Amino acid sequence: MSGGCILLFFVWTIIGPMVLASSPTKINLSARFSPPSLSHIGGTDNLGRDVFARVTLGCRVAVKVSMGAVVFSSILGSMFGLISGYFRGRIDAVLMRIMDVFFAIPSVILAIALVAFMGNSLTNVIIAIGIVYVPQVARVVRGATLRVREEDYVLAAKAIGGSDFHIIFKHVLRNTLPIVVSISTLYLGGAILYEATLSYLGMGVPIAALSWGRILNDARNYINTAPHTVFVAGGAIIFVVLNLNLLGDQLRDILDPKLRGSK
Amino acid sequence: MIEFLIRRITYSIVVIFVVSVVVFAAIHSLPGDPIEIMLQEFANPVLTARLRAHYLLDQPIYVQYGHWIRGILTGEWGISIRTQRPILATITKAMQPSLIIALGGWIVSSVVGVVLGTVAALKRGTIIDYMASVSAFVGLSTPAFFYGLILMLIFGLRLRWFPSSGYVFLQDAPLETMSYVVLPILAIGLRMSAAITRISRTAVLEVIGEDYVKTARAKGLREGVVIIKHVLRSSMITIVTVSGLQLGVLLGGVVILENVFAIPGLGSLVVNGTFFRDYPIIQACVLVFSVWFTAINVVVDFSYSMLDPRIHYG
Repeated sequence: MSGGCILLFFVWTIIGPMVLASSPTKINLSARFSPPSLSHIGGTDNLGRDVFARVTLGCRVAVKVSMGAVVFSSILGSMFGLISGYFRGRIDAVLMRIMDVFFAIPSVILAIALVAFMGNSLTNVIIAIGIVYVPQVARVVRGATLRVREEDYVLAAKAIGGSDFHIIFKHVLRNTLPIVVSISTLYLGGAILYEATLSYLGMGVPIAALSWGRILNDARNYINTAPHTVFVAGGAIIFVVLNLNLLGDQLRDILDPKLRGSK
Repeated sequence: MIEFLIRRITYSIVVIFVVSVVVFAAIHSLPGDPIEIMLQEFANPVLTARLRAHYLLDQPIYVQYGHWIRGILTGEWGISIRTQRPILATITKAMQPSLIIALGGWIVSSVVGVVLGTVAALKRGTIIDYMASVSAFVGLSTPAFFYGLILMLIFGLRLRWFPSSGYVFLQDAPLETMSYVVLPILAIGLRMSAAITRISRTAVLEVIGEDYVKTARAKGLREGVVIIKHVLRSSMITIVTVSGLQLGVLLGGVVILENVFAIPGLGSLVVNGTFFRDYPIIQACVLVFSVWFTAINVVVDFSYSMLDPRIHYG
């Protein structure tokens, strides 16, 4: 069911902005702060703009940032994890120490500092959140690689003279991929939360790109007069991340039954 | 054991040093000449050269780093570009609210999480279990600032039980301080308790079927004693592990909630410093956070050997 909800979300992200009844940017001061009604499902904000329309547009940012960050961290993290776990020895020690340095900085602060250094832009936010996740992915992939490299088929491949490159890509990667996929779904949700948090603090994507966090930032000033904005935007975040987490849990149970779920 | 302690701490110190190098290098690799930015239209070659020498910007980068690190270790942390005030004093003052919120949040999350998780495990399958598990799951999917906003709306603005923003320092009016930190502590505590609830439930469920629990009950011990003395004792290590992993969430949450409730702590320093590109402050704060984080991680690691005497180190 959570898969279905996510699918629905994706469909809405793509077609939503096109089928919207009200414009997300049209300012209508006479209708500011109106509570949810038939003409404005989510009500209007401080400038009379339709909240539901704005939240719909925000879906695009959420999808772009989360997918970008997860793809970035999966590729980079898997690379580090595979190399580290397969070759071990000095390379492993060096790479893991580098990861430790990133682990030493709390993730939100690392993300804030990275955006501060790189500047506010969609790409930089994706990279910043991606960098936060790279050490985590690397650690998981390294663990899986350490397990897989001892398997018989790897030893057999080595025995018949398979090159390291071939073994890593054909055997080790194929068997560590399920784990990467299952944690990626969880990280998708986490990335959306990070992006919302960064945007809420004013450090996320530029204002022009509508982000849920940014909507909540604006709504915060009027929370007493118009709490519906906070609920609609916040509700969207919770809905998507919740379903992503559920999906991730289910995927994890399916793809790696050795890992006990917390049911 | 002591050997392990020393090795662990030495390693942590090395990591912190590397963090300081990375942070320093990152700032100094940024485009733009700080002297030019400072002087703007008043720039002339003589003045620029003099200022450059004064700020050691004409020295090789490792000399600049050495100077900065020596300053950090001797207590000279420099001046904030934005406020023109000494950084060490600013950070020391800002630590108070952050420490209070972090500690309070951690206590709330641990108590709520362990109690809720244990109750859910004991009443497995009932509506209580269902409600606890669902709320924990939803909690994990909710951003920390949203908790803050909701609590602020209900208890701060509508019911007016607590102030919705601001902070009073302990030295000025201790009782008032308490009222200002309740909402942020609750926000971060409840947010973090989601993960703790889940893991406590799992940990207790794993232990509760064990033989020694059956024996304890058969001996006639009261249920409460069985739970606390036997079940929780064994589950503690798993719970502490997850609690430790949540540390990053805790510190991140402190940063966010200081922004939501307008509390002048370390988090606000970082956020405001970022807006004004006040690099000395950002540098110093990132370093302080990393030291906190690493220190607490070492303490958590050591608590394992106390919780489970079978774990030996070294």
